[in-house]
Amino acid sequence: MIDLIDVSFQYGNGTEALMNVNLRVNQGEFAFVVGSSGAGKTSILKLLLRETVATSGQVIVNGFNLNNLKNREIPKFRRSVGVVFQDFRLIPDMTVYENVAFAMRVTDQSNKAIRQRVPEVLEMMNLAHKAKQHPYELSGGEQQRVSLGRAIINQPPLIIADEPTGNIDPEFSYEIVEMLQQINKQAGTTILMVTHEHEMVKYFGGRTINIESGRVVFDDYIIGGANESK
Amino acid sequence: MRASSMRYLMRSGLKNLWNNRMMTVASIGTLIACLLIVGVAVLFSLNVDNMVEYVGEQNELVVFMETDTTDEQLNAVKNVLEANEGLGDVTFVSSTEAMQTIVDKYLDGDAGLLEGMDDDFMPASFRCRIVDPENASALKTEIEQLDHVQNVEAPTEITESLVRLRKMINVFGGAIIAALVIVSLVIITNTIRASVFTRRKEISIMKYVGATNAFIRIPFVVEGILLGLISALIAFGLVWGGYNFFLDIVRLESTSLMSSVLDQIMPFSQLATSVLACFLISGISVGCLGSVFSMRGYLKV
Repeated sequence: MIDLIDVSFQYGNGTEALMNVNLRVNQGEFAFVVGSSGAGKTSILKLLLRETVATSGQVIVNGFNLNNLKNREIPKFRRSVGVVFQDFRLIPDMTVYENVAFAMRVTDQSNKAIRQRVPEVLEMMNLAHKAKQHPYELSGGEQQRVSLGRAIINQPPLIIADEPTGNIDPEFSYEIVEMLQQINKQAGTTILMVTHEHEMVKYFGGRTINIESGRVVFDDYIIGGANESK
Repeated sequence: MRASSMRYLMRSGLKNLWNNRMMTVASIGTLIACLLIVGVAVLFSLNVDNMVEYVGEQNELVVFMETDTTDEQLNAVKNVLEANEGLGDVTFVSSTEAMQTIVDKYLDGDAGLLEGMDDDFMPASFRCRIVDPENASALKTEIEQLDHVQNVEAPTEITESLVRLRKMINVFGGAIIAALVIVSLVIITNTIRASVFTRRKEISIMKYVGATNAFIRIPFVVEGILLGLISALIAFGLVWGGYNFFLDIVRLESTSLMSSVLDQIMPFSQLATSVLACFLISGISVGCLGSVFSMRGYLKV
């Protein structure tokens, strides 16, 4: 669950990135965040991942109050959030299997748990047959699925996806969003997906938050083309 | 932390070394050079210490008494000498014993040459061991002030020059070691920084999925420790071989006159433990510190 209460954020050089933002995303929701570049989307992500701290207002994510989170509590908080990046951020010299297992290894989980959980996730992401390949042998869509697998492997209650379709051919973009929707429905995982592809948002529909010039200018449910045609 | 995680992190550390093998070789080479210089300084100073101690043991302070000193007065002086903490093993040599020593040592036991001399021709004396050679000249001055003491003989010059040499070696050696520790730290820090840099993406992902800083650091600490450990072991081998090689040359070249001094050069077996301990401790701690320094800035995500 995400709760931003009257949040403002100012960069060191005085640039106002966010002004009095109020936003609440409940457990199990799926929400798109749209806005032109420089509108403040990145700043919101940085706040939600506790890369920076709000200048004023409160940021609460998964029950962690990020304003006064101690440094040593950050790892515990981050384990409750899965992140997917536009540029995948896979480790080039690790196989698909190792890239997905990585998130379990570095959070000190047993080999047994890793051997059990990783194949499950690879199966879910349709990557079982690619387990031994390296990221450079995969298409953009496949790489993003690896990255998605890494994000969900520790079963976080929230997934934050930052332009996950930005580096992918359009025909595979929809597949990624469908997978996110599937995760949302099956596991009840809260999903916040940042994108600037308005067409795609119009197609899928659902809760859409539009940020412009550091303010929330639209926050409502829209009916997607995919649903209309059904 | 689980044993399996620990193994995983150790393997990552080893992988780092291999992936950056050029830097690894360069820094091991530099570290070995530094350790060799440290080793030579340490060995030199240990040997000089040993020689100073040896000379100290050889050197006696001899207190010659005035000829007409009574037994009571002799006892008084003896008590003072025995009470002095700078002196040990005080033995009394009477006039007669002193005379006998001369007869035995220089006159081939023929006492006839000394016939007609008074019994107290040779002064009675006290022979004492100097506990710390550094105090020899102070002790000499102090004891000369005592009543009924005619004069005091102590080999102050040799001991003092050795003591000065020891001090100089310690100061210079200390300075060299301090400088080399800094050089080694810079080298190790740079090597590990290179491997931190090539793995910065991995580090940032580790941060995002919630790995603790300690967990992220371990592979690099392992890398640093291994660099230190490998260098220490190779340097130890080289010092061992070099030292024995040097000893062989010195022994072959030496004349009989020098041999008693050279005998004081310690065999390597006697020094091995301290040299190895010194190398391992400095290698490993420099490696550890270097990896901690090199991580600064990369853990803030």
